[in-house]
Amino acid sequence: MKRKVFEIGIILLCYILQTTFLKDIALAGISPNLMIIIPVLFGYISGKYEGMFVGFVSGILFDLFYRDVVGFNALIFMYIGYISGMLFFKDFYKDDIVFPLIVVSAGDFIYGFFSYVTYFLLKNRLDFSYYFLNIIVPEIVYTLFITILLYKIVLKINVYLEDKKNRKERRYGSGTLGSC
Amino acid sequence: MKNKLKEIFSTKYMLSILTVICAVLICITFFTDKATKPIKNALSYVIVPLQSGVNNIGLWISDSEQRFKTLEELIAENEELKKQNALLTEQNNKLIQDGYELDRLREMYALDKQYDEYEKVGAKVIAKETGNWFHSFTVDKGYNDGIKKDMNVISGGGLVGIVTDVGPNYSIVRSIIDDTSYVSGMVINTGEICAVKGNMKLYSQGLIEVTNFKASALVKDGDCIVTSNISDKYMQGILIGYIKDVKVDANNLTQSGYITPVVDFEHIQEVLIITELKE
Repeated sequence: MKRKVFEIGIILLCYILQTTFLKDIALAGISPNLMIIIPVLFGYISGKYEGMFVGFVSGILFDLFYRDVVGFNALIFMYIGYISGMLFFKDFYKDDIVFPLIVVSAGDFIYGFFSYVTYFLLKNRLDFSYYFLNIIVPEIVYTLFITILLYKIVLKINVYLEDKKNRKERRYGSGTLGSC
Repeated sequence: MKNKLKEIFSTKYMLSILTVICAVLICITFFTDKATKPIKNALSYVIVPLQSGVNNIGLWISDSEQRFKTLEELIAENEELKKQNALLTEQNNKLIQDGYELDRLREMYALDKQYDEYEKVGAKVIAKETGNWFHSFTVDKGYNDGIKKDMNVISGGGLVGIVTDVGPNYSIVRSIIDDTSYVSGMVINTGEICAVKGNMKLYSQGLIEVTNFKASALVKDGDCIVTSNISDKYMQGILIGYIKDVKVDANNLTQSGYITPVVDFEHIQEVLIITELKE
């Protein structure tokens, strides 16, 4: 429960930064996509269930105020979080940052591609290479940069939460630990 | 082992439930926004004050950047402004004289309301769109302040956009450079009707697309485009921008070209919302 509250807090914080501060530091009109980083990081660090949940909430929030159709990006973000958790939970050493970076760039590309198809291609804007080179790729690069900065922070917070949980379990858990 | 299986099963189970929820949401919101309205309104009480606060910090940072301009730059700018001021004073004197004449003529013809007589309310831009694909933003006035959907938004003397969504303490404005925007415009002196469409690709060059001029229409560079009298959402006579490069289309029936907008869309901080709706 505490974990869920913490996660929703982080998502809200990222949403607020995404709509205000990140727009101020945009380069050539392109700002990084914070909302896609958090499901990947949570999936990678704490498993696919958390990745899925965080992806769902952040996707809904992403769509809610600025898109006519709500739920589309929630679907994409949710599966990205789930895949991130499925592929990398437990199998890799947690200090290795290469895999989250690959998932973030793949996820951001999928999001960008679907945005292009649904909002631009269907309106007869056929020049995919323009949108790919001027919006999708700069966004991915900028997002990767932010991921590297954010990764350590999320990892530290997660270690802290896990520690607290373990300590609690040791204190109130089964008597075997307490007796020795 | 059993526990692990159970865990996997429950995660998969949740995934399919959430997928169905998303699919249902997509279907519902495709037709109506009634389902998401309560969530939006409730969330806005948490999000909007926070956005407003964080945005102020951002503004403060960009203001302090401005403070580090060099002396030379400021002197050059001062010179420039002085020159401009002299020019404007001269123009202003002329305009004042014209104004008297205009007042007289208006009285004679009993013309009805003009653009500057629309009721307006000021609002601050507090947040921008989440992704990079659209050009819409949030302002800090909502239906508690009397804002309604489809009200026009102006800034710096030009048309910025239109209110597309209203909450209790916020409203979402879609600007005219957004790819989904469509405004009916006209040339101010000849009354030729045209369509002003936002285009993301063109906006990176600072332009908006303008189409559907009649082939016979006489349009030249620098002509002033305002919102037209036949538009059903935009009030008449709001300045949009100036014509650039109008050419006859391949079909020989219409002409199209570009508009240089008067509003600087990258740096909008305050806007005015016209609190009248077109009947």
